[in-house]
Amino acid sequence: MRRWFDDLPKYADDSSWWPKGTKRCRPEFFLFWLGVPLTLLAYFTVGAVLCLALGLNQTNMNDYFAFGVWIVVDLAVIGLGAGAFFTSFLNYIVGKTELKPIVNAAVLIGFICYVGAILMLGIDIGQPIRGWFGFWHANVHSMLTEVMFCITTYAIVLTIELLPSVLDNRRISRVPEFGTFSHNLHTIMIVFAAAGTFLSFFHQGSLGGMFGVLYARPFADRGGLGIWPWTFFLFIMSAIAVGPSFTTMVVMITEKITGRKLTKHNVKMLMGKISGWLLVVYMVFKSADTMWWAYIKLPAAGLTMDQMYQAPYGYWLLWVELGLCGWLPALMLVQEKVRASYGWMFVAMLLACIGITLNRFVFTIQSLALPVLPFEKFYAYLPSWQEWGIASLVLGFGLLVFMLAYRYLPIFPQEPELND
Amino acid sequence: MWRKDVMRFGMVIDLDKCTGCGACSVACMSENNIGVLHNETDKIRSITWLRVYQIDNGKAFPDTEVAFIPRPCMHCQGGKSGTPGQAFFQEAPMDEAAHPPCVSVCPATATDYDEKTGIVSQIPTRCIGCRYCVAACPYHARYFNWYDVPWPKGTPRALSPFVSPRMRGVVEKCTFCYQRYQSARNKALVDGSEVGEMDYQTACTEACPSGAITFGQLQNPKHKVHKLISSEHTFRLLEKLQTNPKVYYMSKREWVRKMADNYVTRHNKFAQAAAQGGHQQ
Amino acid sequence: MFPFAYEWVWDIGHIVFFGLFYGVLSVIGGTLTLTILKTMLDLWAGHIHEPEH
Repeated sequence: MRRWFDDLPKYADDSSWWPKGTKRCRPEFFLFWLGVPLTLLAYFTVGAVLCLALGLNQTNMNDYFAFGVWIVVDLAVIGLGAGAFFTSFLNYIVGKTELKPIVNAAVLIGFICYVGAILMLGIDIGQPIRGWFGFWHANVHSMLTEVMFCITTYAIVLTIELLPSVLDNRRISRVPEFGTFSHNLHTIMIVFAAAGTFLSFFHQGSLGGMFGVLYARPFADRGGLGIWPWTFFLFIMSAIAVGPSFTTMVVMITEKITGRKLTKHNVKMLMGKISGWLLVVYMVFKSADTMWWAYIKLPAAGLTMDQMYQAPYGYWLLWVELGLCGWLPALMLVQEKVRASYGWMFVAMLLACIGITLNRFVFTIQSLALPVLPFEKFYAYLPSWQEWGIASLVLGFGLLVFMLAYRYLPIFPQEPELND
Repeated sequence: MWRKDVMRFGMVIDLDKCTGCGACSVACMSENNIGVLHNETDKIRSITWLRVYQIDNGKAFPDTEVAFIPRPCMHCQGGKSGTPGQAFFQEAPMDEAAHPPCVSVCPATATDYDEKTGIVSQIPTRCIGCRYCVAACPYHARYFNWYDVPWPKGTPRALSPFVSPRMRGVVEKCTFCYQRYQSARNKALVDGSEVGEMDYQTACTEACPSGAITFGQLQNPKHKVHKLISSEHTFRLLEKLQTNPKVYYMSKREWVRKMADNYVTRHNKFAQAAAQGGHQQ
Repeated sequence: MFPFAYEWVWDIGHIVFFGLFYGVLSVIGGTLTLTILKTMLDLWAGHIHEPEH
């Protein structure tokens, strides 16, 4: 089928770089669409320069909102990027090789999420040049230390896991050194998957633990076992439940934008099934934890649920997080009929991803908004435009890396057979 | 109740004597080189290590009563709170290490609980500005430097040489004027004597015109604070959270005492009604 | 991070935390090094892997 641009002269031809058996759009169109992430990155650069040069007064954070939208985005993308470690774990260690067609995409998405989060965190701290103190003068009792160590190490693991995909590029792999190295990495990948699983377990948990250990902030303090607050385990559970959903959702969006099938539907259905059942387990524990907090923990601190849910962070947040974006997608995804439908599975996965983002939001923003001293005031918070600029880093950087990777790297092994 | 081999510095603030004049806050700012921002109209980023809150009893005129609560850093011990007979403080020799809510969370060990004095220190040159401790503190005693302090020309010469000014991007808080403890300790070393009660007093204690603040070693029977904390009128802020703070407050007024902590009955109308035996409010 | 840092103490917290951290780091670094060495050996022995795609 001839289209209007097929007769235009070709100025560049990068088809020898495309994965074997695939078709990609003209390079001119690709460059045009690269403008989207580049614009976002330009917005980020403006915000970043301002915050680094003039200080964090460029944000709307203050002594009541020590954490703002950046921490919410960090926690959310790291939770959503858990698909990387969990899919690798299932594929390489548990042996669910039916997930092989989607594991590269999961690792790519994870790489984007973690590197984006680390870059944002560098600007979030008041003294970025002193960031290394968290490593050099580490306080082993702090959850944040644990997070810093594990996230940095895991970002290294993700880079190593992504390396074979890069080296397997059609032209790069022709170089004997790169091709052989990539082959050897493939054979030993289980070790990196195991290391990644180990690290991810701890940092997903510690990100939840960061708020659970705040025993003097009643919204976040929900009890625990020994030194581990329950939020430690709940954050791990929600991350592994929603990670596969996010990965699959991104693949589905890519399919719709490019008009090409990337994985067979049964692969997506399996991801949905895993996500659904883990979500059910998570919701059981989360519901129990919420009720225990509401009826036992809060009154012990002398507070009521009504005080925890004040406008604009009202009860609607609780029902949306646990109901519309918690139990509903869980019950949807466990049903084969829903998973068999492309559209309905997408909706369920989207709701689950929104749910986990809301969960990260309430533990940071809502937690800080609520006064603890009876004579302190309730404050609300909205990010400044500079903050939104820096928050758009993950999206801009993500789109850029994903677009380049989709165009040139063999991320989807089933693509050639599904499209021609 | 108290460990005898260490010092536990604390404070008792008599809210019936506090007039809300703010001299304590100003003295603290002067002693500790705390800066004033270009624009101080929006107080939410102002740094006030000791902040004076105003509270009232919620009644309309002519029954309105007002009180003021100066709030320094509580220098929390953490751990289980004791009973009123123990002045609420609990720290048996066999107890585990101190666990203030803000110290265990710092990733760079920029804040520490000094076992010898009970003071929670803050090292601004170590702080990376992650603000995790600011989020952890329920008393809002910790402040982040959102701005570089715009010291007007010539003012740096008037700063105290014993306290380093902080640059933007680091957290700071009340240190119980630790530099004064260091001076007193050095003097005692030279004289061959002990640090006496009046040798080490915080700036806010000295500045208070009505003598509402008393500072000293809570565990030392020779110090005034030791007697004051066992009075039936003393209480601490947010006792239920078990932060085990070392700043005590005194008031004979019941409504002031009730404002120190959260009570479910205050906000829950059903619980209030039940508490009053079903009577109409 | 290292035993010569001022605040390092040989308590259970430090031993467990840094034991695990350096352990994982060794596994990752060691495996990567071994893979690179094996690649160099393969190339030297002429076992070049043909790209599948």
